[in-house]
Amino acid sequence: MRYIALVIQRPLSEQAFLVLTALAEEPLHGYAIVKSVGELTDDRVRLSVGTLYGVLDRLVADGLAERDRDEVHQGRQRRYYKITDTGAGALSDEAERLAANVRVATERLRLRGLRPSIAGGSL
Amino acid sequence: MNTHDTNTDAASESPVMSRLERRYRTVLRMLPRWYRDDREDEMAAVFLTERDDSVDLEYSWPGWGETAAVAALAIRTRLAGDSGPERALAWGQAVRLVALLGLAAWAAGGVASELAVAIRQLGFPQYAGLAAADQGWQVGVSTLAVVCAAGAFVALVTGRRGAAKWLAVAALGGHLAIRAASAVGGNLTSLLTADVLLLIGVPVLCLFAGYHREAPPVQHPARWLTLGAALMAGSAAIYTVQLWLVSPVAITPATWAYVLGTGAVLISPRLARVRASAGWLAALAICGALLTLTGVQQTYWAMQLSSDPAVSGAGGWAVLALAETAASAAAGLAVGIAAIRAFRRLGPVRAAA
Repeated sequence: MRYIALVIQRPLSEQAFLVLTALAEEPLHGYAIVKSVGELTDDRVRLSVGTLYGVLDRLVADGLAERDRDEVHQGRQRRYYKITDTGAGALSDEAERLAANVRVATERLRLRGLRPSIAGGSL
Repeated sequence: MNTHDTNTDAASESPVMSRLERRYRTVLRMLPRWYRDDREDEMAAVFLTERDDSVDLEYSWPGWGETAAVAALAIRTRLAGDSGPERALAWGQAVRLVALLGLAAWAAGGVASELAVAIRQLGFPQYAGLAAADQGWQVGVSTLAVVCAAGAFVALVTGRRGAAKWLAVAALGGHLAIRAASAVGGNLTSLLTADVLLLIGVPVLCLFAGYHREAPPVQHPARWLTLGAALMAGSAAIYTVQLWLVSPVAITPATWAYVLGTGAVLISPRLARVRASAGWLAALAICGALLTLTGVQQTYWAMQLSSDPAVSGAGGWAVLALAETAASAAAGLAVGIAAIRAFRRLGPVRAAA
């Protein structure tokens, strides 16, 4: 029985982008990823467990993340995931693309006399 | 940032399973076994982390959002797209092919029927009496539904699967609205006809289930468009001839296209690759089952009508419906046996290494 994985380049979803961002600093286990994504987005994005594993499956299949190590904590299994070099590159590309979008939007809004806060505040 | 606990010394014996954990593991049973073998404990651990309140652990439920997320994950893993065990990939391919074939037949049959109606209105006065039943808003809705079905097929083949899903739902809604109106008028059985529920409803369900985010794009779009156009042209020709003859006995082009196509797949050396594909064989077997069940209902109705002396030609319709049902059942059975053999060759499903 073979397990088949075809690597297909596709744009990162917001959830995948956030999970990779969470993993960019250090390897994390599932719950830590959920918590980290919540912190990164001020709880705007709250990953359910089913959604998290769908995203992780996708990232691992595409070679953007990989399993790091298994640990047992208080009798429960914890599996850690880490970002790969390919994943770091994809995250960097996506961050540049989003930053370019932000720059363009900011310039256009300034022409209308609006001054958006890059830090996430209201216009 | 250090949101995770790295204290591995805290490892101890397994905690007692709470009712909440049992309920969550029940939800996880939606996932295929090969996936649960690898991930169930890990997912349960993530779900239960920092849930220490005894009342919460005793009385809480996983919640609709979590359940829906696991259900979506179950669909993606059972009907795999571009990665997964061979059997999951084959089932995913089969479901996607049922969606494609179903949409192709639906769109082709609908467009052909509309063409036949247009021809009838142009120059077949002897058929005008039969057109009376089609009058009213149903005509416009029916035409719109056909346009949406054709649009859904083209959108799916050309990679616009979001648009395909919206159009397919609109087309299905149109058909159901017409049937519902008929049911309100006293014909309650019209709402539950097998042709709508099986030949249209199932492909729409397959479209949503099979074409998830990880599903690969449709291969060979030009061939699929050619198939759709050929089906449409053939159906239009058959419908037009039947109108010309004003025959009460009308053959079903989709059924014969299926029987001939399946026969070619099982015999032709040029289709050896299709014959070797478990996904293709399973898709054809599913289509055969849908056509057979629909045929059984059609035959039943035709036989009921044939016992009414006021209805002429119903006997011939009953014989033809029976022949079509038998043909689709035979083709479906043959390809179903081939599909079972092909799946056995894939072996048992195990988790990723």
